[in-house]
Amino acid sequence: MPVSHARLRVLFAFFAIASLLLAGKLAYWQIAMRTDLLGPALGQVRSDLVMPATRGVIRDRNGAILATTVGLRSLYAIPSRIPDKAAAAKALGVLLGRDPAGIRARLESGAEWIFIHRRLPESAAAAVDKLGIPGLGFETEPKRMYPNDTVAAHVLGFVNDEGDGQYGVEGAHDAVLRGIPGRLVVERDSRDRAVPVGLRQALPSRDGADLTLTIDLVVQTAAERELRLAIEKEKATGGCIVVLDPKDGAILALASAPSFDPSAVAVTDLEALRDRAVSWTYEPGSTMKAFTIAAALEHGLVTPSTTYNDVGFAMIGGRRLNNALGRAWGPTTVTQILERSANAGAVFVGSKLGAERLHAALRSFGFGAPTGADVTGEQPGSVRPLAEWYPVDVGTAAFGQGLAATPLQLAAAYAALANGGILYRPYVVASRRDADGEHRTAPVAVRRVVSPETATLMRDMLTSTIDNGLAKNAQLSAFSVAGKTGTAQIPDKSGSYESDEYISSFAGFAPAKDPAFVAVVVLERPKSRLLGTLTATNAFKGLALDALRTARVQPDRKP
Amino acid sequence: MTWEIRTFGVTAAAIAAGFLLALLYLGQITGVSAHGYEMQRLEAHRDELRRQSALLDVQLAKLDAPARIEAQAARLGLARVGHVRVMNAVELAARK
Repeated sequence: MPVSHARLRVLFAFFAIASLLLAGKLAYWQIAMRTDLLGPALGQVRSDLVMPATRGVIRDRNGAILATTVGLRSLYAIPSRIPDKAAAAKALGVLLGRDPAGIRARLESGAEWIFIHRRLPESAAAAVDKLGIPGLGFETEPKRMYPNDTVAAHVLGFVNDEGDGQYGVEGAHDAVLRGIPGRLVVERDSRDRAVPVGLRQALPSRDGADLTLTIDLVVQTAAERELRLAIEKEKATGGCIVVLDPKDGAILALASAPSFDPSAVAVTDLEALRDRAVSWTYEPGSTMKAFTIAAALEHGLVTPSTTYNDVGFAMIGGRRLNNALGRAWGPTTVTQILERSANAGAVFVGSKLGAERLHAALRSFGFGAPTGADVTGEQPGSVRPLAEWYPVDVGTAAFGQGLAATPLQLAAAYAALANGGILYRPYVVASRRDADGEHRTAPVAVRRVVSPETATLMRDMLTSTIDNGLAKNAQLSAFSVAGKTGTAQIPDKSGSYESDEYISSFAGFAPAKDPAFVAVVVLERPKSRLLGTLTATNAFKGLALDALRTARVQPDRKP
Repeated sequence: MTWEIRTFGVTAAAIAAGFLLALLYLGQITGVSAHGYEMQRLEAHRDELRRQSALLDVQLAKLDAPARIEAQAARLGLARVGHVRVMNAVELAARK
């Protein structure tokens, strides 16, 4: 049957109008309402992710890893997808070493998504994975790891749960270690995978810089071992050991006790976080006699053979300052002042110097001001202004009382005597490696404190102190050692000193002619009281054997 | 050839060409998508290998730790050497 043209036209007009209406509506949604529709639509498929930067690795001077960040798998659960929660809890409890009842309670808590165990050891994660329980999954989370456990804890510091570096190198260099996080915006499909041909905007993260420290892991381990043994023997309340390279001020080891585990800071006593080498000051006692004598030699006021008559005490400013145990030594040379650790002799030399020159010498050796080392929490110590000195202060300061120093300051000052007279700023970061390459730290020579001739004389006198003096047990069979013991009293709150409580120390270097290292050992309140210096020198000796062996130093004496 | 047949032929050819083009486009898109997913899988595999490598580095550092070696040596009953004898090459040559 022929179709009339009129009907065809009506049909065409109907479809044409319908098409126009549809096109118009489509145009309305696609153009006019585009923004309103696009937002919610993209919101459903788009994910905006922060791409965390990987924290930099910290290594010792020989490349051994001291701290690094590794992704560990965290176990999560979607309880609604677990068919048998009781069986799952039982199996997980066995593998994770946790109470199955606790796990089951969490699975039945009604939560849609929960963490069962965060940052699992790899073996445990693999074992859980093997179970193949539906509804369990893993998410990788970064974990800061310290392969040497508690070794160098105070040097390294730690990273808190928010990823912020605290204390030590982690704290002092947090800005360069943490890096800069990036951003990734992608569309995701129904299986939560990034759609390859979809929207993709990425601002790449910039990983943190790697740091190489001046620390030598072998020397650090030896320092911590010797400190632990000394503290155990003396039942001391604390202590520290600082080891420097005298040639440039590089810190080879820095041990402090009590210590802490950087991986378990939450259960650490706050006092253990204090780095006694830099954040704690004490009256150094007789170890300071070396600087009094060095200053007097520098000014030409005495020579190593200048002699005075030791009667067991010295009068100064109307006060009587005694030798240890009141011992009278008779005729004593300046070299013997160090050998015998005669307080009266230090007062004799200090009096020749006078307050102004002694004060200037102490300041010049770096006491009373932070060394400027790249560590956190460094204390400046205390050398009272000259205007506040009483006449007796010349005497007490000459043998290390009435002032306060950190063990690091003392080590830096001894390093100046060891290296020929130049005070170096101690430093712990040897180099930083980032995307731009390696940036090495240049050693900083702060100033010359004594002439090379004076430094040589001091090295010889301090060597004689070990060979002929009271600190003979610091001798090494094949190496010359230079050093000085110190026994300091502990000031109490009344301005006097605690009775029968001491801080024992030893500062020295080896080999004496061409020192490979300088070390300061400090023990707080040793139970053997005045004999604590023997333990300190033994600790030095044990440390020296390892330090010299590691550095492959040739013996300079016949064993 | 009538006008209707020519029109039908052109239209059919246009539709077939459009269909082929669409097929080609879909093929490419699917290929890109498949390669993209493969790339993501390989990236994830690379990241996992890097993670495993980092874990092995940590394990190696733990095994190399001087404190662990000292403890092991002590367990084996080994004692520390008090003095290490160093042979001086110059002295040895002089003796010869």
